[in-house]
Amino acid sequence: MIKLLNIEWIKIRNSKSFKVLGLIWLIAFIAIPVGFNSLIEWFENMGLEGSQLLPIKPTDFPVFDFLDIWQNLAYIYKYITILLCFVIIVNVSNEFNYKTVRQNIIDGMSKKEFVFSKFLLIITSSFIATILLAILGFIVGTAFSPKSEVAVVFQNFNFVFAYFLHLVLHLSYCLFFAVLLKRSGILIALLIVYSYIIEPTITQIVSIPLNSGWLTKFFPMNASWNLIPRPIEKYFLMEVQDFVAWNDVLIALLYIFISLSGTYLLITKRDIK
Amino acid sequence: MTQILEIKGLNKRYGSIQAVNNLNLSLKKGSVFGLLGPNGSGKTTTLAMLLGVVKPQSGTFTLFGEPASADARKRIGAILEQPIFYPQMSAVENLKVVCKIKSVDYSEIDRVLKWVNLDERKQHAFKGYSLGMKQRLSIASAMLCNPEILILDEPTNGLDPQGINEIREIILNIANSGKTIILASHLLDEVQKVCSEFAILSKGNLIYQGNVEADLNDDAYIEVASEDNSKLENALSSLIGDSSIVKEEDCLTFKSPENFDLANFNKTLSEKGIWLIHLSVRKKSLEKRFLEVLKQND
Repeated sequence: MIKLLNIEWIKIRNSKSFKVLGLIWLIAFIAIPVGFNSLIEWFENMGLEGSQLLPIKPTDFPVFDFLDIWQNLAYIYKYITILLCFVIIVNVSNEFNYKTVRQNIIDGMSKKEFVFSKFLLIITSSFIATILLAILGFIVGTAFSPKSEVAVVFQNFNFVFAYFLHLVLHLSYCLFFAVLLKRSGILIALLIVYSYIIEPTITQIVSIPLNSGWLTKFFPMNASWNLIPRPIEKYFLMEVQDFVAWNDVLIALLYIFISLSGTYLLITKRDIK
Repeated sequence: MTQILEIKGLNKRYGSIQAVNNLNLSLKKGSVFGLLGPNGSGKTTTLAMLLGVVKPQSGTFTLFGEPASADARKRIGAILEQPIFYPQMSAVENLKVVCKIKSVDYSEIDRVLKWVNLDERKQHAFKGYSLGMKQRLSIASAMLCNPEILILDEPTNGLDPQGINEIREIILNIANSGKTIILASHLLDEVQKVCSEFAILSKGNLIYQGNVEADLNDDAYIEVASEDNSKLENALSSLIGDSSIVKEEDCLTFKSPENFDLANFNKTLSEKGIWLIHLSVRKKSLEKRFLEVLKQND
């Protein structure tokens, strides 16, 4: 396992796309809480606290307080997952474009090891992103929260694990489709169109007549997004799901299993040209 | 000598094309084997199946006496069609990946890069290399694990004469070190110089298998000329029979009889008053043999 991780590390540390996309992701990662806080302060300076729009002062929203911070941060960071998706798509597609997957196998790597090494890359990058989320959450939460009792700090911490699962699932999709299509440009375009146009549209169409989200929970992207539900409405005194639902976790795990099995079958059943 | 590779009934079909048809072949340890055939004859497909990147439809093969596996491939050094490396990475970084896969120590990298004269450019990105340098890096990579079998598929493809010469020298060095080599090449002169055995594939079928030395010796012929070639022809007819004598423009050729003694032959002719102005033993080239076999099977 360490050997396969080492191989992936040598490959990725020399990749220009990893350096560029990774840096953009890191900047966005740090900038988001800072920017969000500035946005709230800007709202307050605009005098919105006295208006009908917001019942309380924007800076009184406990967005970065413990308890709320884990869901809020995990939710916001879902929107930059696509940058990590690009890294995986480029990394895996290039293995086929450069035919290096073929040479790796000729050199003595088994097809199973190849799939496993890419999954390890996914797990490791998801783990690092999750650790960064946890560290940033602790720092920001401690700075903003009036309370810092252990029980309060770790309540809702399961959203951090949900974020990890969301990343693993999203990146597993990318692995599967990169092995299937082998073209990074097409896949990135398809990912954007499907994630932000096709699936949300179908979700809306299906949800209205059925009056239920049960079916849409099984849509591939929803399976990932639903792990961390939108928390914003609660600041407008509306009811939101402020916990990680077990059925969402099970659906996500099922899709991870399907993506990896599909990747394995594609690699082992096809000739590597 | 032990069998290092044994292929039994290997088949591969791409749609309606039978790329490899019921191939049976075995290779002894230490042999230098030339795999010949025109484009599309199934050479690369055969090697790709041996190297685990193409799945055979049917048939089996063993490497080192065992069913083929990823571990067995770690004991093989191979170049298939073209040098394949990560373009943005340096030679050293690329070879580190190979070292990790083959569980070879990084210290081997410097040794193989020096051997192929790439040590001065080892930190440069692969994409900036000339084709000759890329081929040399491929050979360095293939030699990293001190392989028991070396598989080289068209190692001189696209190279200029100097590049071909460099690669030929490297292959000759490897062949002299006693390693088992499978060399697929269009350059038959190269195969003739390096290989001890050869096989010819055509349209996926194995149409000929032979020993380079024996095959070319069998087809050896003698070329002679004198001041009076008609007198020489009469003398030759009485000495060896006239069935194999061929009249060329300014000489005569005939198939070399078994245990033919050139000195004695010359002496006999001089006793008959025929003084040779030209006498040489010609071996048929592998190229000629290759073309003959292909023609017979057309």
